[in-house]
Amino acid sequence: MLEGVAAMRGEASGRCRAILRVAAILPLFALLSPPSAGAQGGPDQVQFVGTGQGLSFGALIPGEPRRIDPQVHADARAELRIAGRQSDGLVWFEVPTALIHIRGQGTIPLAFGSGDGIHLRAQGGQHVPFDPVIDQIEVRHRGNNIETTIYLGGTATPAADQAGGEYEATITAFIASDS
Amino acid sequence: MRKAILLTAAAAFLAVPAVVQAQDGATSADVTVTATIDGFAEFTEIYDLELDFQTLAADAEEGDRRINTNDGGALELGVRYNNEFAFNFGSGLSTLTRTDGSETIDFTLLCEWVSSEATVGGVSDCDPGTIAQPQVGVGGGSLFVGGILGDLSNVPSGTYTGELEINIDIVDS
Repeated sequence: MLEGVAAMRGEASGRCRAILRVAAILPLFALLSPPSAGAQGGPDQVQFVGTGQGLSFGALIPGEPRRIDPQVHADARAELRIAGRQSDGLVWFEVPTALIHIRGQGTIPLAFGSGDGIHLRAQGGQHVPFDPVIDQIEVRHRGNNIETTIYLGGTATPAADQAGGEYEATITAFIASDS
Repeated sequence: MRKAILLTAAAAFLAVPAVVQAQDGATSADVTVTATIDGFAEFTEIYDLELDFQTLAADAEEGDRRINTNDGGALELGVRYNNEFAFNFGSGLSTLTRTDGSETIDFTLLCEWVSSEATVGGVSDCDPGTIAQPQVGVGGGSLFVGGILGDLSNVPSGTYTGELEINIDIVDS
């Protein structure tokens, strides 16, 4: 899982160098530090605590693109909730490029861009737009009962002669905790 | 700086999985994305057609009592679709009835489905099977309808008729 992320972000060559340089140190630190109860997915670390709903484009009209704006379409946007009380974290996404017919009878192009992600910050309640394709989200959780919410939208572009039926895709969200 | 440390943890995870996962294991969550395209399969026009055997002699041969689906007298019903579908012949039609209701003639319906799509299956003898849609997009085809009349040697003269309703059912996908 993490190996894939490193490859995905590989365009930032400076960051890749940092990974290799520090990696030699961390295993030693890790071996010297026994796992604690809180570090094993306990409440201290930030982690996903639920997906309120998926991203739903509903019934599309062939030939007519539809964008789900996460600021506007509360009933159709995807929702991810993150909780944790004593750590920060980094969230990023792998997004699909197409919706796929559940019986393999075609695809609908799917696009994500700037503003298709909204980060509702735990502290301050600000709505911060981001691009789920390229941006990483820093979440800061210092205190009890802090929850961050991320909303996702996107644009689906069905062809004029699109085959009828149901289409699906999966966005994978990753979170790395800095405990 | 924090970003660099976090991604470094990923490298450490690969080297010492059991321990580092406890320290800095990243987790993932899947978010489902869904959409639907309304499926349709419909006749291209409303049909009220007649399969006409015209006047037959009581001793008419089987060849005269038969209209094949590729004969000139066969009926053609155009269909347009973007979804899998099936023809629904309802209760079917197995007899023609004299106008006064006194007699019947056996009847066998013949059907053939022809489409430009190579992947489309066939309808043989009005088998109400599913017709697959093309891999992508909107398709079209025709249902050709013919029939065979039974032996006429022992039936009284007169006009014999029957009615068949053909529907199209969308297959959920």
